[in-house]
Amino acid sequence: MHITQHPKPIIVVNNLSTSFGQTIVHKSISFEIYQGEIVTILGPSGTGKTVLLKTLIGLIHPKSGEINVLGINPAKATPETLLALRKKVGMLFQGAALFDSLTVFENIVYGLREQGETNENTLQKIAGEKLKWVGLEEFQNKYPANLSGGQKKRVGLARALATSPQIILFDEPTTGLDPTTVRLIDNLILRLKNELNITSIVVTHDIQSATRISDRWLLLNNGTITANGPVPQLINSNTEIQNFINGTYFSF
Amino acid sequence: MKSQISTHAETLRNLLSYLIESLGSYYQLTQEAVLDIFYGRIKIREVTKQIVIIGVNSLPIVILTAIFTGMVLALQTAYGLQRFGAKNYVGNIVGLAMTRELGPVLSAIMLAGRVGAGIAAEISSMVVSEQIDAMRTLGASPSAKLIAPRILAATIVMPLLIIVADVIGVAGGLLVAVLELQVTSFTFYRSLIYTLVIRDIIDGLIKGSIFGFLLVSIACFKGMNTDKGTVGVGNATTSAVVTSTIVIFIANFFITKLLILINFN
Repeated sequence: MHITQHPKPIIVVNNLSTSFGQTIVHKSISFEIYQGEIVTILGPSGTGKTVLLKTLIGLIHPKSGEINVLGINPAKATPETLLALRKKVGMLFQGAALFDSLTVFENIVYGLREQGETNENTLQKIAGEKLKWVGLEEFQNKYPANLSGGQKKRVGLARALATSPQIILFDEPTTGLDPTTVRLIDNLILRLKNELNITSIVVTHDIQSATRISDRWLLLNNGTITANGPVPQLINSNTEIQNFINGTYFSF
Repeated sequence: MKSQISTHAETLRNLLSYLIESLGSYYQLTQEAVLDIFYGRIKIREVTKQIVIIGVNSLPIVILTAIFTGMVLALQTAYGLQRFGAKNYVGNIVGLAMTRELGPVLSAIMLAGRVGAGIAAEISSMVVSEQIDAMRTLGASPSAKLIAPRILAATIVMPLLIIVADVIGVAGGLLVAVLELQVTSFTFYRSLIYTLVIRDIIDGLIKGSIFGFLLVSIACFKGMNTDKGTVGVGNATTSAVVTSTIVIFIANFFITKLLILINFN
């Protein structure tokens, strides 16, 4: 008898509700994410996609519900536990969020220094490896102001990778980039999965990119998840997704 | 009429709840920063860097303000005092006013404009560009990295700036007294020493230290609580300067009252 083994989810969100004052962002949403998956969160602007990413890493606290990321609930974690979680979960921010006053090298090793790594040789080695991985070996001593949008995103990715995380959260990684750089970032996200078995959660409006890289899509609208499934299945048979792709989907 | 009253009551309630909420958040921010300082979670290198930015770089503006304040103070007091033939007492008035009041308050106001605006703009830009969030995700505490070193630096460096302001202000007064009012430097000095006691200088330094703490913590608070976008950065900067200036004026009265009470008991 063939037994199908279901992998254990590494992220479980159960009945999550988020609000800012009177504004309700998420209304009791639930989903699971498995090791090595690339899951893209789609949805109209202002539906709380970025808020959801930030909730997963403990930057925003939910109103109610349960979150479990690698066995830790970021909303209830002590500062020490939260720190331990953040070593395992990296984030690439929308504008890369590089520290302006620090060089590319200092940006990349920032998290490692915070974790107590003081050996300069180790730091140089890790920064060199991560920059090589994103194809920017020559940029160690440059400042963020001297980088293009795509280069900033790649340095941001190298910084997120420096602490060897299991999960990386991408907030609009390809927004504002030219098609070649979009393809480059897409390939980097795919390589994270294929070479490093890293789980990626991507928030994007770029349907082409989302189709290319994702195993699964979640459609977030009006505070709830209205579609969740493998990409080909959703594109072929889910009217919500079809309307969203065709631009005939409205958020109320 | 009834609905108008209820609208006003609603506005008042919203305003009060905003004020209480803001005070609560400000208390949290300063408490965390103070704990970071006491538990040694800040880097000395960052504190010294801030001492240079807040203190050393503010010296020209403090010196300029103090010298002209001292000079105009001598002119104005002599103008009033000569009606009673008491022009020779200009030294003690300049000395007392500079050390107890004008040195600390004017230096704090100048710093609220120069340093407070800079800190609020820097931190709010970091909030808007998600650098603060990035810092947190990389395991760093914005309080220990950004806020606590700035608050400590301002609290340490303000009294030092006030000593400079006191000396320069009195020197400005002396200059005008000798060159303009025909008061000898010996008369000025004797009048100054006769009235001024060490407690006057210390009270001014205590005030300065508190002002330094207040203006930088308010600037950090406004920066951290900015709205999104470049408008938010502008609003945070303006609000930091206005709020800290008002708070300095209000705090000045109560600290002065308290120090006088302590001195007389």
